[in-house]
Amino acid sequence: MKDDYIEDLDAGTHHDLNELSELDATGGQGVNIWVIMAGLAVLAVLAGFMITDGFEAETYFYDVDQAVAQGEDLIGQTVRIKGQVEAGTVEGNDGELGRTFRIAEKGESIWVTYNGVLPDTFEEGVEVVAQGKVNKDYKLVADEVLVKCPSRYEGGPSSHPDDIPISPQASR
Amino acid sequence: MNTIGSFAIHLALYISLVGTALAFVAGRTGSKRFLHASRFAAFSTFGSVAVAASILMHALITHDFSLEYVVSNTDTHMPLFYLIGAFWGGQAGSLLFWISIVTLFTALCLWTYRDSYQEFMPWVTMVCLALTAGLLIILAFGSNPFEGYEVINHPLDGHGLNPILQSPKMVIHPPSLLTGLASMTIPFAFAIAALIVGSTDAEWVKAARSWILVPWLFLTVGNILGGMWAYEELGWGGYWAWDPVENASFMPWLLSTALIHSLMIQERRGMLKRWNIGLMLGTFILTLFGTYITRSGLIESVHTFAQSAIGDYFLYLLLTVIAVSVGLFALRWKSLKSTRRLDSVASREATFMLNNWLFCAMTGVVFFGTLWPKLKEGLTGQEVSITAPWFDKWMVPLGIILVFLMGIGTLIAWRKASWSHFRRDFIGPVLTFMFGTPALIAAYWFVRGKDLGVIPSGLTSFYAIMMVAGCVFVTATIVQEFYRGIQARRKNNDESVFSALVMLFKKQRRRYGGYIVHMGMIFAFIAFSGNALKVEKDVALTIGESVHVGDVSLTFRGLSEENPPGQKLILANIDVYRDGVFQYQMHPGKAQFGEQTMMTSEIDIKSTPLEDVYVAFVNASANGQSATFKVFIGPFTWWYWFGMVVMMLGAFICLWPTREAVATLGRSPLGFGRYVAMGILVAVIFMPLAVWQIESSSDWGSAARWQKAGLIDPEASVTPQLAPPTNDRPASIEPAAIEKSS
Repeated sequence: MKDDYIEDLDAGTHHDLNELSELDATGGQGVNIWVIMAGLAVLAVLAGFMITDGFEAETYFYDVDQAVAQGEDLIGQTVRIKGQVEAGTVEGNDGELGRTFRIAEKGESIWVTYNGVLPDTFEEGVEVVAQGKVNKDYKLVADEVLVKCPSRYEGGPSSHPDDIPISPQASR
Repeated sequence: MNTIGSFAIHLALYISLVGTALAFVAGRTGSKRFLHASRFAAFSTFGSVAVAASILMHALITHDFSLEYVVSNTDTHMPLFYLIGAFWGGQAGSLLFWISIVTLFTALCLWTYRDSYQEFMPWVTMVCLALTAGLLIILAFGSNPFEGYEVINHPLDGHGLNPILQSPKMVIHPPSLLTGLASMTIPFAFAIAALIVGSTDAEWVKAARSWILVPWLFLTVGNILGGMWAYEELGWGGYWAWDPVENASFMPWLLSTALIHSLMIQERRGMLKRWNIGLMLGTFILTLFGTYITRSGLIESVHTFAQSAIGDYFLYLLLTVIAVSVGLFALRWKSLKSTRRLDSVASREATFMLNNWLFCAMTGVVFFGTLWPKLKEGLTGQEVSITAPWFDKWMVPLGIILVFLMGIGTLIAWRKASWSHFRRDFIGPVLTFMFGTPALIAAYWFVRGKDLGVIPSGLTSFYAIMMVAGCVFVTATIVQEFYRGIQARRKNNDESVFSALVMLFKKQRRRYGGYIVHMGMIFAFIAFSGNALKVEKDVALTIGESVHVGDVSLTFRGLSEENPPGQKLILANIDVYRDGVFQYQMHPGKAQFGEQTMMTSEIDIKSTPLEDVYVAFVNASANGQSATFKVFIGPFTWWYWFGMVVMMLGAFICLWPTREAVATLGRSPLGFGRYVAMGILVAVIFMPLAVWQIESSSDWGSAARWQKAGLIDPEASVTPQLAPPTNDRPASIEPAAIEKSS
């Protein structure tokens, strides 16, 4: 594309296009090696920061039994816990906020309270993933509850590279 | 018919393998005849793949339920538009689509350069055909779309496509993303060819610069459309969640954006040779990697995947590509030494390098955040997830620096900026940004922002303000560039302002088109900064109750339910008031289709350039007396979509073929090849508009069409005759559900 070189229009914002003929001129004296070293050092430090920060941003993901197995250590942690909603433990009705229910896995269970809107696929017996902090009463105060999709969408050919979301809420 | 399809796939595989060998011989010996033969092998491969693709498309449209693929992805009630969409709705089909694009672009590239780049072309042909062969192996042995059904369990109606995917955006989002990923093959092939030839001159750069914009454009559009779909269908009020699958297609976009900039430096100044080759290889590897993680179910995300066998195939392909690329790169490392060095840190080259580093840093952040949870699980068995706030924490500041660099890179001189340059070029934009930013922010805050009732945290507001400042600065630089360009032309050629502008685009399309792309980016950043004032609230309302969200108040007026046979459609009626004045009614709803147990949300959004009001209806009590909603007010979200359109326009200006380029296409036998090429470009640009049109004037995107489908007498639809899968297709059914939109 020759056109790109036709800089005659530019009232001098850039060097005129003698650059092209200068291509065979000797290069500049180059940038001081120390500048490059410093740049790389800064980069390395930043990368280190990013990675350690990433470690801190990890949210552990447990099944209910794994979570309960930690005993007192779980209190105060921010975790994601997966389990089945126990029949008969769901308090409150659809169309309300502030719901409480118990999720269980392998004989262990934990109470979950959630102040937001539960997804409409939520019902007794479904698998949910609740994310939040465990309080002193050993209840998970969730700020996000996801419902695993009905089995109809599992297995068979995926309908899309990024297929069906677990529920219409993603972490924000 | 299906046997022919299957045969076409195997034939294409055979030809591409032969073509690879021919191209290799041509490359080693420089034989023209072998080169010619390999070129025709590439054309024949394209032909065979096109035959296979047409047969699959035909099977989908005619409801040929002897194919498992057709059964799993369509049903008899789907409109034609979604039947076509089902082509890339499933795994095998999307892979076939991918291969079609690769072969199409290969054929185009070989045809365009049939008389140029003689020493490169055999190797380019070889790389493209080898990759095609690799993908065809996966298709033929891992996931053949022409798998038949046994007669015994031959279904009468298909499973259909998940209703959540039946929106027009979902029909064009996958193909544009796949096209972007697949067409990345061509510039990659040039890079590998450059390595094989060991050529240190800028030939591959010239070719790559012409071919990289196409994948970039499709990747951009594909990513944004995916966000658009998520925003309108999923109901969490956002368009980007840092989901692994989104990240997978975002990383190649980041690297290819970096590459577009650094190629410019190499073309101009002969620098960064190694860097560019490295970036090109990295970009392509990331496209394959992204496909691998989405296809193999390697990474669990909020998306569920089909765990499938082809993940392993993809892994082998990926490892082969990595091994070959890295091996060649190491082999040629010495000969790729740049001829020149950086003159000064205060120069455009340095700014571009910094921009490249930033893009790489961003890619690194996304890569780490996407892959680390998986690695950790592999190492310790403990599942973890890295949540969106972490991504934001790192990407936002990087993004802000990037915006400022965008402005500086536009202004600063090549080689070495002097103080006088600096004064002349920077004074306008810097002043604009010093005075314009506070004025703009204050104006918005007092006119609108303070009423939203959100007081963002210190850091968030700092980021938002810096982002706006960056946007103002860049806008000022772009305006200045255009102003000076127009002035200069008018001084020299005595043109009117408008014709001077047109001539700028004509004469220096890449440069000024690039500025337009930058402008689109800036609009997107405006949308990002609006998120700082985003209001979100989960509310529960009984009939007649009102709730305040920001300065908008919503009153729930009850549900209306419609029960066409076999489905359920529930609409919530909400009156929206602002400052006590009635504004409009909103009707978010839920729909339950056919035998699906899942309800899908029909979200209602009122979008203006100032802000979006977004209501999703979640659930209701059994008697319909109370219901819960998610309500969002998102300032400036509109600008994100607008930014996409502007970016497309800019990319389009860059891509608009010059007279010479059209001439190289030559006279095709029918003389209409060039029109087809132009037509495709025009079609791409108008696609979003077409989709909006389709969505607004028909019932394709809404639950209403299910109502219509429900009105069709089930007895009336003809059931397909049972036919052994090896036969021709069964008697075709009248696609009962293709409705005429009234």
